[in-house]
Amino acid sequence: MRKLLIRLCILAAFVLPLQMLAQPQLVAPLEQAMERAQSSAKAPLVSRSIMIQRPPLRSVKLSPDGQHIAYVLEQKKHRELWWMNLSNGLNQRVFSSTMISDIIWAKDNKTLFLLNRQGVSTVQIDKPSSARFLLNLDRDKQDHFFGVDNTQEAAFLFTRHSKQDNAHVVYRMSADGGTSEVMRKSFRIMDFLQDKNGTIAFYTRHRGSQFELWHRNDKSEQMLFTCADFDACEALSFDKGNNSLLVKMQRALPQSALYKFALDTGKWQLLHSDPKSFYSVNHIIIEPRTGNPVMAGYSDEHFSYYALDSKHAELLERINTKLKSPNVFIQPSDALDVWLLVDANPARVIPKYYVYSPSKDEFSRPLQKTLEQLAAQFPVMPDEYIASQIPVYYSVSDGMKQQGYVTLPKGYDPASVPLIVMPHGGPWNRVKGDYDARAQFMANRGYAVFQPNFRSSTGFGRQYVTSANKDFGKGRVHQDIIDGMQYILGQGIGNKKKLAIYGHSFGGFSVLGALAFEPQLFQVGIAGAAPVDLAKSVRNFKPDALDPRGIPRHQVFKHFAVDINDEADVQRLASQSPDAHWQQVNKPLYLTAGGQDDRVSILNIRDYALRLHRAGKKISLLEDPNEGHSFRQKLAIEAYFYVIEKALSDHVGGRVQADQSQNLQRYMKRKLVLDSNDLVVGS
Amino acid sequence: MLELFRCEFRRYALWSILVCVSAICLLFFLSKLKPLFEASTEQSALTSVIMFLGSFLFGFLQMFLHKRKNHWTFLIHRPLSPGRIYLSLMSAGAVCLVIALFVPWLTVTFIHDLFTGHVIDNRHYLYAFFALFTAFFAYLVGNLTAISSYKGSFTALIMLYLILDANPKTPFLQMLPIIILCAMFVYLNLVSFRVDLKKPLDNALPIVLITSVTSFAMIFLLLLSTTIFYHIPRFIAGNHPDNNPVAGSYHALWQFEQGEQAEYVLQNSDYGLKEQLVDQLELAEMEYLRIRPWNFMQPGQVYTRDVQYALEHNQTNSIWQFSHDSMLLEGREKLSSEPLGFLGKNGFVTKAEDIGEADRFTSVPFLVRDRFLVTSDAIYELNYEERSFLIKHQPGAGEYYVSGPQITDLFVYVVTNKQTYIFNRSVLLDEFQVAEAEYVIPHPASVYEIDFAKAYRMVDGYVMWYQGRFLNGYDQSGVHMTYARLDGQIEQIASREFTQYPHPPWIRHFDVMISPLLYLAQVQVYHFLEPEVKTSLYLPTSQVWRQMEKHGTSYVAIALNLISLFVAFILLRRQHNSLQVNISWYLMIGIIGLPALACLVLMTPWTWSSPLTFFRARHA
Repeated sequence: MRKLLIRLCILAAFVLPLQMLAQPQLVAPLEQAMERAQSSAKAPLVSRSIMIQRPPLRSVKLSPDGQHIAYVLEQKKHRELWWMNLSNGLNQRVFSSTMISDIIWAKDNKTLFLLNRQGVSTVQIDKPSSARFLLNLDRDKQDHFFGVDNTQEAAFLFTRHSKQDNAHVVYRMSADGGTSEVMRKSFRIMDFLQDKNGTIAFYTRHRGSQFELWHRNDKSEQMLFTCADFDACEALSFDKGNNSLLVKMQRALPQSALYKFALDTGKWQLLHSDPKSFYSVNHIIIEPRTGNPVMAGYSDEHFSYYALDSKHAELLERINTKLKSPNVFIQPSDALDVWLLVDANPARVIPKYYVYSPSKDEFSRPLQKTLEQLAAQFPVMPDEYIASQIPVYYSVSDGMKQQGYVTLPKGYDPASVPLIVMPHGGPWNRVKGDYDARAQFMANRGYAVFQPNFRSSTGFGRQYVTSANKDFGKGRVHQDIIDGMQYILGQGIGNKKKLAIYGHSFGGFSVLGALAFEPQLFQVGIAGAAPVDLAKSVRNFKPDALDPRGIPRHQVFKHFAVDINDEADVQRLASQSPDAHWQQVNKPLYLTAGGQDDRVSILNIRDYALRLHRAGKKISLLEDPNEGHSFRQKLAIEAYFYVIEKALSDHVGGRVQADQSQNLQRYMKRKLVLDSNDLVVGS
Repeated sequence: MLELFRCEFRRYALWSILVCVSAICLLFFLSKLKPLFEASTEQSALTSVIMFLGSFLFGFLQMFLHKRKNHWTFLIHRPLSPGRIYLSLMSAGAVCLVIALFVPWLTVTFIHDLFTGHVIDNRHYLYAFFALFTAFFAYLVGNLTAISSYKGSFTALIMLYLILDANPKTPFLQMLPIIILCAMFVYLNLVSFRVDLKKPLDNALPIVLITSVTSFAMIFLLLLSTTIFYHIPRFIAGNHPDNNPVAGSYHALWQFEQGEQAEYVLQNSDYGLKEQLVDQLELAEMEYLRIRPWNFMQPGQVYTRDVQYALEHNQTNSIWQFSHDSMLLEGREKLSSEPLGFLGKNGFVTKAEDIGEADRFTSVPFLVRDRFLVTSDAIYELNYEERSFLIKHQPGAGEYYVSGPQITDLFVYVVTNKQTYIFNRSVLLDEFQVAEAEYVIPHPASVYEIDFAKAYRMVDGYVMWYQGRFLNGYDQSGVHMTYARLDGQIEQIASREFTQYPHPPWIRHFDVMISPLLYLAQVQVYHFLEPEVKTSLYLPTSQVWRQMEKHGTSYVAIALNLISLFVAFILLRRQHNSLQVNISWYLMIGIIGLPALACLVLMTPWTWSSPLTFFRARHA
């Protein structure tokens, strides 16, 4: 017995450390990153105007046949639409416009649909004069663009609400403007899947707090299954031969995965899930001939693809070997014979674009020359100055495992640098492993940046989202952020006497909460477009406002944050909101707000700021009446970054760019309505 | 004369003084509500109505009261010539006007000049004289209406509209017409004031003068008469073009919606992408553009013509008011009126002694919003905090601005005599730096002939739509469409001239037809007073006549003249006028035409005695 016990102890001594290593806290990579950061040469101060420079190339799209690329080039005051013939390298401008947000290829490989705030336009790439409006989308009336109709040569699908008969109608519109009705229902269609004839065979509707997937044929309609909110369940393709449906949804596993659903038997088959058991599936690539999925992509720490067959496993291996990047997005042609690879390595500002031919195993970079020409015109931060961004995992005080990122400035001792906590907006959003200009800006100024994916963040499964349990303000979500920060401090990152917090939108709300609920912890807070009380913000929403998934925003907030029609619920949340605890703020606070913000009323922010000001607290408020929820104009963005830089420098001591352009000085003087922090001398 | 003057003056002195005191009180009360010398349509309209109507009524009443039977006998038989009697009465009336109107205005202006920080120029004093003379003219018309046998004398008041409508280039030209008119009407009153008031004028010169002046009113009345014999009958018949647009006419445009208008204009066009364009215009966002030139202010003009009062900057609590005397903007603190310096062409100047000639503006700038100055050759932007000044934009060679920056939801635009410049809103409004236009679009016709324009926002630029009743010339309406792309390409899409008309030519050309030479005279007078202003009123007369020839109305005009002469011949035969008088009438009717014939009819005493002889013999 005694010997057995000793053996067991020895075994435990070996096993337990292994178990600890297996825990996904990844201490070792973080330590390595800390060492690397400290030993690197300090990056020189990069000017604000360069830091705010966005990649000039956007919306790069491969045509369905893989023979052309279309892309949007951002110029100073307008955008240009270009297309390139991959076979002969011909690269030409289609036209210039101030009105292109995104582009989508039609099936005919000649027509592009252009999305903008007004609606949908079209152009044929070889006929620039053919550019024309097709459709005005009135989002207040729940008009919604679904996407290209792949069963037609050049058509797209959109939905419109008809007030006369209270019907939601799905229409098909072709590039020549011809419109036909596809389906009419008394409820809003969230998503659908067409058969080869273009008829809608499956559709998703939202009812109550769940989604329902329905099957539709000539004779009848039948509900197949439901999925809960924040489940992102989506029908991807239908195999008529096997009568099975490929679905992306959350079932037995905590995260969304790829399943096959047999319509006949109602049985489910798991095809793929995240090997780390932490992330929801994001992008599925399907082989057109067989209808089988061949690759599954996950927005994990960065973006990862996993092959579902050996052939594609080999292809992925080749890609990874060639690109050596943790963040590659694959855009295949319809036949999967040409792939556009977008290498958005976070260690680089501007992504690289490769065209890959799997059959020939050939990589090319058709846009390289364009990017080189643009580099001179639109200088960005050099790659060697970019700070490393390390994903971290930790458990918060109630035991929930969470994830985040920490960015370490080059050439600094991580233990001594100020630490900036940067909660994301949303709150139903997440920080991803992409290049983040704000985090890099702060790292360049000598700060470590921690970006937590607190509970209510999306992409980690439904439980991750719903565990917030409406406990915003002085509640669980706030505690997650603090716990995460304590974990980072515990890893030897950041000087706990030099803590600051910055965020935008819900991140700004978190900033206000942090200063109110932890008055001694942070030295300064910077909040952009910050709601002071979520119920007040919800009341400000337009009645028909939809969230990115197409669900009425009011409804989402009602289920997951606050029901503004329930006075008791409003009072509950109000009592734990930063608005109710403003008197406790005793550290400097910097606020920015846009007059055209349709989500957070500038009046609420102003009222909050004025209260603090009247009470003698240190507050600065920058208002731009022409800007919305996020600043878009270059000067406004530069001012926004200046506020962050100056505020942090003044209160936690980092680097600051001394010179300001005359335009920036004028802008600050005009837009600063309160400034007891002396953001601008003499304001 | 003096005794008569004193007697007449005493009759109205108390009233004059009461009006004077009331006017002073009212003006000071107004100055507490708003800056008194800020031109306001309501203030000007009210002042004008009170002044002119009041003066006219005063003049009429003064003479009318004397016309009572016993009063008249007592008055006219004084040992003075009628002319002198009239002069005495008129002088008394004039002094009353001076007391009632001139003194209050001058007092208030003087006090403002001495005791406030408002910029008071010579033109503010000039206005007092201008107002006095215009009121005096109305008074003289009132006198004439009362004493003359000419039933249409009161129509001479229409000259006030012409006086006030013109925008003369200099103060001299401002005052000249009204002084001439006053002199004319003093003379007319002198000759009309006689023992037998019922006797018509029997001298050539008064006939010529009164006919020239009142013919303008006759044109207006004859134009109005078309309502009775043309418009109303057509409305009753249900075929009036306003309710039944004529297909193919310019006016038919108004019945169509956005896309339909384009379809209408492009009907016979060979533009390749017609259908696509029509669809596009239906969907596109659209802004109206005012292309018509603004009336740039003239140095020294009366303050009632000012378009803006001052630039007010809230952040610095300052007001910057343009002084026509110094041709600079003079700044003062809003509440304390403490002087803040000057603003000239080269920027801010703190002290008066530092001002050089180069600083002074050469023309009166428009003041736009709180920080833009617009002259014909530059748009300036001010930065009050930094006391700096920027030339925001300048037109090209050979161009001049005809308006200042105009702001729409989609963009800001500025119009020159040759082109329209379209700017990104934030570039012009938010950024303190030189502005570069996104689009520079040439006008398809003279800027003075474009009634308005529309800009349709396309994916890659704007489709500009220009329309005007005289776009292609006199009575030649049209629409022109241009596609301006963001990359600088300008494509002429279509141009349509409308050859169908809703009304017959004799209605369209009526004002010219009834008196072509009077139309020409009016154009020349306006051209003399405001030589730089070009409106459709100033279309070359040859162009007008050609168009009339084309539609046959030129022949109608000649025929009307001849018929008027013939009718005049018939009418004058029944009178026993002197040769001089008859020749004057023939001359006036031959030159002016139908309006002069109307004056003859109104000027000659007549009664209905029988259907055939409706003129009684003139008194010998």
